[in-house]
Amino acid sequence: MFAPRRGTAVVFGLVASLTAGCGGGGGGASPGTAGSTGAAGTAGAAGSTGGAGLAGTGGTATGGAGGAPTAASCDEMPAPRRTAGTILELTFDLFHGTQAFVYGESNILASGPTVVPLNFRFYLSQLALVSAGGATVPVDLVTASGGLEPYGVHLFNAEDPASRTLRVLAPAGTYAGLEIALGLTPACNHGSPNNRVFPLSATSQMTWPLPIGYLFLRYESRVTSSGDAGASAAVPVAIHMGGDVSNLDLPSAPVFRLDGEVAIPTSGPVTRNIRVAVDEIFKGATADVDVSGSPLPPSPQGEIESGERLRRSAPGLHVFSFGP
Amino acid sequence: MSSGRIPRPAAVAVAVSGMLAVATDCGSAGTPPPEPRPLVSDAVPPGFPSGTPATLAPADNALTEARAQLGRRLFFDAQLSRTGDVACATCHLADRAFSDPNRVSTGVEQRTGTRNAPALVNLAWGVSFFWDGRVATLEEQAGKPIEHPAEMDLPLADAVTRIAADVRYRAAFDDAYGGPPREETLRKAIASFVRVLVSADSAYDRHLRGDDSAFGGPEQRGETVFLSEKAGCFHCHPGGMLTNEGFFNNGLYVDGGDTGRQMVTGRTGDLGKFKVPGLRNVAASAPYMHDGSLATLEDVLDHYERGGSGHVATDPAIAPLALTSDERDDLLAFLRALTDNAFLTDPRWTPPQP
Repeated sequence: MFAPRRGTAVVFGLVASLTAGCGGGGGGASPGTAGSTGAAGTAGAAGSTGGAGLAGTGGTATGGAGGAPTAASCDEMPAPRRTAGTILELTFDLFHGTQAFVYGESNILASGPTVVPLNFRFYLSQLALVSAGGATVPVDLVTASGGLEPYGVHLFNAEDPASRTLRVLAPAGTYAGLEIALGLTPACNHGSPNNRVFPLSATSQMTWPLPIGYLFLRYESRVTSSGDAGASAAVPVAIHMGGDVSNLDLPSAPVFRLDGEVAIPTSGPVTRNIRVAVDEIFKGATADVDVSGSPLPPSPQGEIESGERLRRSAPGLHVFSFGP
Repeated sequence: MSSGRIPRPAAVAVAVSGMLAVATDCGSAGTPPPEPRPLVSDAVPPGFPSGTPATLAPADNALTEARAQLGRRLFFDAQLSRTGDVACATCHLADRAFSDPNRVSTGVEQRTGTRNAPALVNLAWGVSFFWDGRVATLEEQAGKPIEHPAEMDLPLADAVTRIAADVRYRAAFDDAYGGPPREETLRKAIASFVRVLVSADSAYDRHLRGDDSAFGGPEQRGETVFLSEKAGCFHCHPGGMLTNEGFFNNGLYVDGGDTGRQMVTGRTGDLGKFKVPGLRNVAASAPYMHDGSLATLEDVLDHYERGGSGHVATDPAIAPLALTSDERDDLLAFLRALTDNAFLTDPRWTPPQP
C-alpha cells in the first residue's frame, strides 16, 4: 500500500545529475528517447534506458558529474518519451512552516512579520521518477487533455489555480521518489521569448533582457514588520532567481529529490500532493552567501541578489516534499 | 466633456465623405481606385511573439475577412448605443492608437466613466482585457461596453434587433457567420475587427529588423536605459508586445480610489493593481494610466522617478529612480520611437463605405 514519507525532501544537486539519468556516463540513450519505454511492475524494472550514470547515487549530487545536457534543444513540442502510461497529477501547495501560505492575502508568520505575496511563480521541468535502486525514469509533462506541455516545462503561478497541478505520463510501477528541477535546461534558458509560446513567452513574466536567460523563480511581496528587525531580515521582499548567468551553457537549475513511495497503477489518474516550503525559499534567499562575484547587476530591492543566494544555497534546502 | 475631439457620427460622416471624395477624384482621372488592403493578413510581424491574428483567434471564431469587415462596420456604428450617438469608435480613436484623449471616457447622455479607454493595439496577442483583466477573450470583451450604463447602455438583445433590421447587416452576418445577427456573432464580429489591429512598423520595430535609419543615438541609448535595472521598465514591458500582461500596483495614488484587479479577484494583495499596457504608439495614446491622470509621457517618467505616490499597496519594484537628465531624455526618445505612423493613419481604420 502506498505510504508516503513526509518531509523527506533532499536536494541532491544541480541539473547535471539528472542529465546523467538521460544519458550520463557516456553510454546513455539520446535525450529524446531517454527514459523507460513503459516498463510496468516494480520500480527497479522501470529504469531509464540511459540511467547508468545516476544509478545507485542514493540522492547525492555526485551521480550527474559529466553528464550531457538533458536536452540539447528546447523544442516547443518535444518528442514524447512514451505514448502510453498513467497520468500522475502533482498538486503543489504553499506552506510557511506548518502554516498554509496564501497567495494575495496577509500571512502572519510565526516569526512575526506579515507577508502579502503579490507575485509568485516558478518553472518546473525535467521530472523523473526514481526507482528503488536510484535509477531515474524521466517522464513527459502533459496537459489536462493529455498533450505534451510545450518545451516540457510547467509554470507554477500562484495567481492561477490551474497551474497548481502538474501532470506527467508515467509508466506503472512503484517508485522510491521523484526528481524535479526548479528552473529550465540550458537549451530552454537560451533564446528569445518572442519566438516562443507560453510558458516561455514574455507573458510568463519570467523574462529578463537577453542574453541572461529566464527567471527560474519570481517572488514579490509586501512585508509589514512586527518590529523585530531580525525576523524581518529573514523575510525577503522580492526574489528573482535565474540560472548561472556567468555561463548559460551550464546546467544550473537546482534539482530536488523527493523521497517517498510513488505508486503508479496501470490506470489512473493518480494524484500526489507536493508541499512547497516557502520558509526554505526565504532561508536560501537570505542565506549568508557571498554573491559579490555575480555578473548580475545590482537590483533596486536586492531581488537579484536574493535570487542568487537562493540558487547557490539550494543544495541545502528542502523546498519540495510530499504532502499528505 | 470635449465632444469636439471625439468623432461623433457627424464627424465620422465628414471623414467618410472625404474618403469618397478622394476616391471619386481618382476615378475621374481614369485610374481605378486602389483595392483596399484586406484586414486579415497572413504576415507574421517580425519580432512579435509567435502567431498571427488568424492563428491566435479562437477555434469558434476563426478570423476571416468577412468577419473582420463586419466587425469594422459595427465598431463605427452608433446604433449600438441606446441613444444612437456613441459608437465603439467614439472612445477609441484610430489616430490615438484607438485610445481616448480624454481623461475618462464619456458615454450616452454625457455619462462619464472612471477609467481611460485603453489603446486597442496588438490585442490579438493579449491574454486578458480591460484594465482589471476581468475577461479572457476579445469575444467576451466586445459586448461589455455596449451594455455598460456609462458607455453605450444598450442591452445586446436590443442591439441585435436594431442590426437585424438592416438588410445589409443581415447579408453581412449571413456571409460571415451563416445566419442572422445574434448576440454571440455580434460580439464575435467586433472581436474579429479588434484582432486585426496590428501595429508593427514603428521605428523600434524597424530597428529590430536591422533598420536604424529612424532609430539613432538617443533612441538606442534610451532602449538601453529601458532594459536596465536602473530604470527597470523591462520588468513589466518586456520585448515583443512590450507588456507582460500582468497586474501591478504602480503607486499611482496615495489612498482610496479605484481598487482595480481586487474587484475581480477579491484578494487583499490585488488592491490597486491594473493591467500593464503594451507600449506601441504610447506617445499617441495620452493621457496615461487607468484613470488618465497623467497627461504626458514626461508626467509618467516623473511618476516613476519619484517612486510613485506612496499608496500602501504599491508594488515593491516601484522605487525612486536616479536617472540622469540625459538618460531621461533618451528614454523619452525611445518611447516616442514606438510610434507607428502607418498604423495611426491606416485608411482601413475608418468606417466602411455603405
